[in-house]
Amino acid sequence: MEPWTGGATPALAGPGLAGARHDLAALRGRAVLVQFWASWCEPCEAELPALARLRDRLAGRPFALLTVNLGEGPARVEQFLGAHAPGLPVLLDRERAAAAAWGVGGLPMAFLVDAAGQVRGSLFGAADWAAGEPGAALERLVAEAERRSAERSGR
Amino acid sequence: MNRRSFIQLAGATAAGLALPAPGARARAEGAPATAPAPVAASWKTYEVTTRVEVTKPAGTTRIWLPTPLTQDTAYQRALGNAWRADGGTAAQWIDPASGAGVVWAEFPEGVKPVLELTSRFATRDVAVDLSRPGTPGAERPAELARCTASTSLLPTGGIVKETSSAIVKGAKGDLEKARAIYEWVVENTVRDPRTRGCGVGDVQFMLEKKALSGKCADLNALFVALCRAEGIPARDVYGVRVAPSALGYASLGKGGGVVTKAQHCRAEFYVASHGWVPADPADVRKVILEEGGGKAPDDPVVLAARKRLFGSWEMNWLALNTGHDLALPRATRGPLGFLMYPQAETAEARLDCLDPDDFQYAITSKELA
Repeated sequence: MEPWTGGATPALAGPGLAGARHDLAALRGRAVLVQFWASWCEPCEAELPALARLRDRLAGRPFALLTVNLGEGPARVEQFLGAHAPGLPVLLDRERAAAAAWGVGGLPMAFLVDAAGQVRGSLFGAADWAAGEPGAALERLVAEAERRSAERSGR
Repeated sequence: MNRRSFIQLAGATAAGLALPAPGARARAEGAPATAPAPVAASWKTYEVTTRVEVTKPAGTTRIWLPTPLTQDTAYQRALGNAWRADGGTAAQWIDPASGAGVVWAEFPEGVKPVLELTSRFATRDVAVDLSRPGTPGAERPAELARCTASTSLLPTGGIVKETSSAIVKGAKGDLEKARAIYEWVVENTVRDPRTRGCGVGDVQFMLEKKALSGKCADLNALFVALCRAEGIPARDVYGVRVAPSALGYASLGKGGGVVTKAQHCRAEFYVASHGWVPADPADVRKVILEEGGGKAPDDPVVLAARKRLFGSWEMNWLALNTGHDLALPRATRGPLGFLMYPQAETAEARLDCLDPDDFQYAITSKELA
């Protein structure tokens, strides 16, 4: 993981599949893993099912997953996700504007965003989010979101 | 500097310049701006045809195709372009900054968007004798300035400058510095066959993430950016391999006549003593990875390629342009980092030039008698 040095969190909002719309700002209150990928990226192919398992493992905790597809059309994205990770939320960055704003120069690339909406770190390359440093970093943010939620509800 | 004039066309159906008969001698229109001494090689004449079809048009569809270099050099002469865009409006455009040539067409909704471009050109191998001073002509100050400036993908400050300074420490003069940078790229990068297309060429990302792998558009962009950071004019030269290598490198040529996926980016740098000097560190890494199933860096074949590819190019390759950050005519999306592949836009999006689902094209090449 590398600490984020890009200042304020870039906007991340746009269309998904089947008329869906995604907005990172709407996920405040949860730790968010933002994952950029493309169907032609070999490591991404293995990573997406793992992300689906991660989302299931963290169900019930303040965590959200938002994937961002780089530059591909909806038909290809739908076909690929259907084969590898059905139901995963995906924002279509067809013009690569989000990738440019987030400094994505290679794939796969992931960002951890805290419950206040601030990017805290990035990771270039395949990652195991269930273990090691990436897993620990993610767990810290989820735990932080839980504490924040508890404080707000006065518990 | 001589510029060929082109006909601007409007109206349905397009016809480009008539192509000269095969066998026409490549005629000089005057001395090129710089004239590195070529090897005693003869000119070979080629014809390359690109046919593009957008299979899922939406609204107005536009297609842009790069043409061969619009200005003659010691190693390449343009012999004309002809194009066809039935039902569309087509024209040729030249980027005022870089001279990059584009033939483009616009198709209204309901018309099948198909653009075909046929280009004729002549090439001859080029080598610069760096062992003794050359007698180059002067390059335009504007071009030298363009080739030392930052681009969106090739910044020249920050980590790029930090890296270049460390590389050239102790080197004296631009030629020694360029050589040090060339050797560093050869030694510290890796060709990654999994890289899509020719790569992206995001030099800052490569250095920051220590991801010194990719293909030609990555590795040669690294060379160019590092040279520019040291004030050495340098430029990527985007192109496509059009014939097998006569020097025996299976990995550095393209046979069979179908060159749809044979795009290749090279590099040049400028020194006052010799003018523009060809280089291609990315192809050294290609030889290491692919020649004869792969070779060690100290293999004699690799060492020979490494020596040859600093100062010379075998011209079984078509040079298209040296443009960066190109604002294509009538494009509705942003500038292109570089132009080496066909490009297209519909009302919905700029298409992914490497996705055959939406964007089908074929490029063929043949040598003319």
